[in-house]
Amino acid sequence: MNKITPDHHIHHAFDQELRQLDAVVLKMCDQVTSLLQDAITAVTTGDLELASAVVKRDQEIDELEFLVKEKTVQILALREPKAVDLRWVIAALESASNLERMGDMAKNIAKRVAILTSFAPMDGIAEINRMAHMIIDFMEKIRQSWAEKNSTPALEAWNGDALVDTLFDALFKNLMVVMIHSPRNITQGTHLLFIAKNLERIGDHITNIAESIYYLETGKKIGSTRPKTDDHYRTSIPLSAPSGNASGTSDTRNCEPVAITIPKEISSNSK
Amino acid sequence: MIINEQTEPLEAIIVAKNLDFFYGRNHALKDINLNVYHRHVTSFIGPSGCGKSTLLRTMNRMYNLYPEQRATGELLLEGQNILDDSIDVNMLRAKVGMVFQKPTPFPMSIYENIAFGVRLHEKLSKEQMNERVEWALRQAALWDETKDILGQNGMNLSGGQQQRLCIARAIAVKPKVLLLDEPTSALDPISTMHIEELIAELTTEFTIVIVTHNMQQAARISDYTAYMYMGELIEFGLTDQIFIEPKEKQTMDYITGRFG
Repeated sequence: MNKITPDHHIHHAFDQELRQLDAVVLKMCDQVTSLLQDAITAVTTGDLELASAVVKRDQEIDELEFLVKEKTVQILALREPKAVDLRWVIAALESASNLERMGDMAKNIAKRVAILTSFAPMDGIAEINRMAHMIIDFMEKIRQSWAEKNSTPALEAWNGDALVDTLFDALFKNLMVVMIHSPRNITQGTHLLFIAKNLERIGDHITNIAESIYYLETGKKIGSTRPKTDDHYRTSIPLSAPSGNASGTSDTRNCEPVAITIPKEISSNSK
Repeated sequence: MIINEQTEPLEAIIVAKNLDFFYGRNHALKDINLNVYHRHVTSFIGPSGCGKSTLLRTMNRMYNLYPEQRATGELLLEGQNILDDSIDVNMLRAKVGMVFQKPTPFPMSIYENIAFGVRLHEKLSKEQMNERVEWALRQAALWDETKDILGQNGMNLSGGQQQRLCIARAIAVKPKVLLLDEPTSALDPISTMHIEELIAELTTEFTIVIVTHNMQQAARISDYTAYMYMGELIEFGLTDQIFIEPKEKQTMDYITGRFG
């Protein structure tokens, strides 16, 4: 396959417009990655100042998304792009929309730092940190794919999202167990669950961008079905499970989460 | 040359097999193999001099007017090779009508512009001819504008109306195929839209082959598109495939406006 570049249009200005569009998408990738890194650092260190900065910086990502929208509309109206150029601008528009949502989720994570710092640390932060770093690694693959117009790294992220889902499932079950054992952990536990869910959703947006890049490169839908491992919506921990110790710490040695089966259509609609 | 996948079996009304064309010693069409499908619109696109108009003009043997021009290979219309010397060229042109870049109404009344060609091929009563003229003008979306001025000179119509009159004249003899050689390049955008809409409506009865320099027009109105370059058919396929995911780099470069 020929390398996809913005170059060699008879109208040189069109090359420049595609490059500018690309630069905004890549800047969004960088800013979302940085925002997520800072949001997770704020969660793990309890840095309220950093969390507050993350909340403010999300606005910049929203503005970049609007810039992508403006540039896309301008190119569609004035250049009438075709074939790979048309797929390019459509993929940029889709990716920007996904990146904007990812920024919102990083902001959402950062907003929970204040309440988390008012409680003693609990189990789960380490797993959240692990999930976040896996996602940041996938973000870098997405960025590389966009920069090179080569979907291979993006496909690694697309396939790797199953690992994020697995981590989320484990964390979901463990946090439920902790909360059942020690109701005083319900506040932190609930916020950590939302943080984990935000990370899991960021992973889904990464797979959307990977699909857009693959379409840009090939004009096709990814042939295989994305591997999925998340089944947290099947998880139920019975209240009769052995209670934790009096100190309210998260000893879950005797309390395995119990999986119950729910109708398949509900599970497939939950995504 | 790449032929993209067909979604359904279609009836090919014109089939070119190993078609070559020469302007004297100039080899203008090189081994063209192509199907034109019944009641569909097929566009030929490509840079100037690529052979698209030559291929169109071969389909009703316009080249016969010039002794130094010749075609070899096969060009089948409903299974019959129209390149054969035995073919009655006048009958062929009744089956394969043509409309040119610039409107070419005859210097006679609107009515006579239509009736003139019909009389060459059919003997109709006055009433039948009236019906045929109305039918052709209605098909060409020109009836409402001209029904009260049928006796006026066709040259007095606007450019867009003149071109629709030429289309009406071409379809009045009920051809199988209508060849359009850049039919809107001399028209304003609104007239162009009328002609494009007309082309879409005409496919209920006719097969249409169009040469156009306007790629967006090809994308808008045709079911199939052929990209030609230097006398060769580079790629032929469903229009949306050609404009969204062309297989050949040469096609990609041309439709995205890159210099290859």
